[in-house]
Amino acid sequence: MNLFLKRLLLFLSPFVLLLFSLEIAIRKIPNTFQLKDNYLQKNSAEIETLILGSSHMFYGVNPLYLDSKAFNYSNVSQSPDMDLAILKTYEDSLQNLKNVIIRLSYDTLFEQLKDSPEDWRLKNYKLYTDVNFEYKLKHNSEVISTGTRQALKTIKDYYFKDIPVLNCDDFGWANDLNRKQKPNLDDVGVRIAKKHTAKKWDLLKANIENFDKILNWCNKRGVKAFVITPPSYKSYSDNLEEKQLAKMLEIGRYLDSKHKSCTFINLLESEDFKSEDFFDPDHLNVVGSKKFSLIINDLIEN
Amino acid sequence: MLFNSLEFFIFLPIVFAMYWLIGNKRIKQQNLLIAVSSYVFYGWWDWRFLFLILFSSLVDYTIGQKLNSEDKPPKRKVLLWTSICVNLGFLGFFKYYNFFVDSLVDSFTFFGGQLSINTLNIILPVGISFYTFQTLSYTIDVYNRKLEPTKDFLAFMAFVSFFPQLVAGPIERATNLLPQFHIKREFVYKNAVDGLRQVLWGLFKKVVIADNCATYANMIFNNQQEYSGSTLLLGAFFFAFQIYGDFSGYSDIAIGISRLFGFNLKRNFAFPYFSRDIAEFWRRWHISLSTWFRDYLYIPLGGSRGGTRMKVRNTFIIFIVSGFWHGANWTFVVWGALNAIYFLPLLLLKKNRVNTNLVAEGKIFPSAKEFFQMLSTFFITLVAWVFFRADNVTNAFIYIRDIFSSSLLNKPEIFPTTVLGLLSLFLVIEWLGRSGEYAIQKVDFINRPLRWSFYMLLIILMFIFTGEQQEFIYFQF
Repeated sequence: MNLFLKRLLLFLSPFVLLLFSLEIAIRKIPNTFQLKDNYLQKNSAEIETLILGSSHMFYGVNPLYLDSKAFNYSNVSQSPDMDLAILKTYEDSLQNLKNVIIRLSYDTLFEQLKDSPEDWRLKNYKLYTDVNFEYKLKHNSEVISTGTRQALKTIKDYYFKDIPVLNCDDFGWANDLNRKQKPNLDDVGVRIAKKHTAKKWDLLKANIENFDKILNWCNKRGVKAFVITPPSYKSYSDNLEEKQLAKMLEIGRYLDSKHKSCTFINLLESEDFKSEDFFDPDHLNVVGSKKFSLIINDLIEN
Repeated sequence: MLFNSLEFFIFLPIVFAMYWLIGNKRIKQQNLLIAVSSYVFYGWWDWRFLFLILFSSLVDYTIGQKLNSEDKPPKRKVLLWTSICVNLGFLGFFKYYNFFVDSLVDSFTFFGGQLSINTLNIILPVGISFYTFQTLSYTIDVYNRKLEPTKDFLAFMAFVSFFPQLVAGPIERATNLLPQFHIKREFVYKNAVDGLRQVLWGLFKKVVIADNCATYANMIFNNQQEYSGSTLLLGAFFFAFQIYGDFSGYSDIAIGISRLFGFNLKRNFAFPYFSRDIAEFWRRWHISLSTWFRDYLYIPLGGSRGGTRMKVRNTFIIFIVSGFWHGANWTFVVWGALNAIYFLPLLLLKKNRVNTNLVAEGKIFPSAKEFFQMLSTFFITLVAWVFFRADNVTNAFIYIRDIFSSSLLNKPEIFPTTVLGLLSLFLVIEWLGRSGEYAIQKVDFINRPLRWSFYMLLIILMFIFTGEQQEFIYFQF
């Protein structure tokens, strides 16, 4: 037994060392989540408008175009349960908060980050923010959450190719679209619409409850809540499943009528947005995000 | 708990250390540790279903005892059927209730009637098909007086819930595994090293082969209408290796871990894609399930002893039931039936036992005939896998129709060279190691520095080419 253990340890030691080195190297890279957490730690008392939600809001709403002091705390794949967790974590320090912007996209009600294949993203909240959530053991490690392949790629990109991991400006708005390859808007809409069409509706009830909790939280604090369905390109919106879309709109209207503080706005097929406003069929580019942000600003101010 | 999860990488060394610290003179304490840790392992997923395993263990243990003390055949039969009904009742309810309800409602609608029965929101307990069959084998063997019932409930609990093979097999026979819980287990260096090597190979199959193939198989099957025939064929090819890497990888890990604890489990896969006909394939694929059905269903039905009609009937029954065992969907039934159609000509022409030896034994390359036989067998299994993977039977037929369209000759829209390169390397290793229990078993003859370098290479490949983590496919069965 001793011989077995000795040889096993000897064999494994270089790998353990390598994994630790990777972990340390990645954690030293400045990232979006660190920035957002630091910002809120220092400035939360001044924030008047908080933007939550997924990549649709992360790329879509630029706080610079809002008259109120705003911060974008949306992130890729961030679902309503995470939005709620963020509000709860920082609630004591958000003393001046007047508006919360939340997204209600076609897929919002039917998925949660913790149950999706992208649940590895939760490690960002666990490692770099104070957001309280039900994390898994693996979320305590960069390498184990994302896998060694991704970890090696991150290290290669940052340390050897100077590609930053940080992909937002000081106010939390995503600014890395120029580094991404723009897809053909007409080609990928069908596929993305299909990807966003839920196979199961088992998370619907829990997600509605999360919306209710967020809106109750807003009601209680006299904060106005804007539940917004962001604009999309026709190759996406034309291919959405009617039943799921109808349910999403029904819940949007339900939230609007149930909660005094809530205003639901559906911009899914808004004619204000043309092909030149989109990066891909369901994400706005810099031009589109300016338009979208100004619309939101109008809503808040008027 | 998944074998490829962080939780398991912490869980295993703790249980391993405690197990051997207890010492092999204290068998009962070791069995208690196995039972408790197996319940922790299972409860990590959903603790509520532990009661199901406990109940199943209690029922079969009690029935085993009663069968031993009862001599009257009618009463013995009642006891046997009680066990069968309880076990298959649970399986039927959790796995097939909604399927039967849906099928019944569809049938009524088809004939113009109307029936309103609600389906239930049932969670399928992980591994229920595996441990149900394992406990059933115990009762049936005791009934047939092939096995003395155990008087040690703890050993029986550990046998039913043994964590390495609890959720996805191999489905162990009580005659093989249960006696091992009654005897002293020795820590043998050579066996432990062999076990770890098999775990390493199983992880490689899962993490590098299955998970990478899964990415492309999912992409192609989920958007089948967008791709040409050549891409669809490639999608089926990826799925064939996804399911093989996934399931045989799990079996390798299970067998390897068991060896670390001094247990020997049965082999579950024997290089099935090197089979020269479909009968050989079924002797090499999911062996523990095939032999289970052979011994507890096919032979009691009369096997192939009767006339042609009986042979045809029994073959269809065993393959369709085997398909249905995999899941409550007509796709699995068609998959089973298709395999029966493949198998029947061999059986009727008495050619189902032609290829029982190792292909190209002692040679590096197969003959042209052997190569063609392997290729054609692989191709027909590929067609059958389309039914296994598709969401429904209609989509499977469309998929196959679209493979054989004129676009079969087009350049595939998806051609991941890295994954195909890894698959080639994998096939070479499997081919060279096909005389072992698993592909890298016989690397022992290489000197240690080279051997260790080879293991390290496998780990580095796992680091670099880890696919997106997927749950083991067979968990859902």
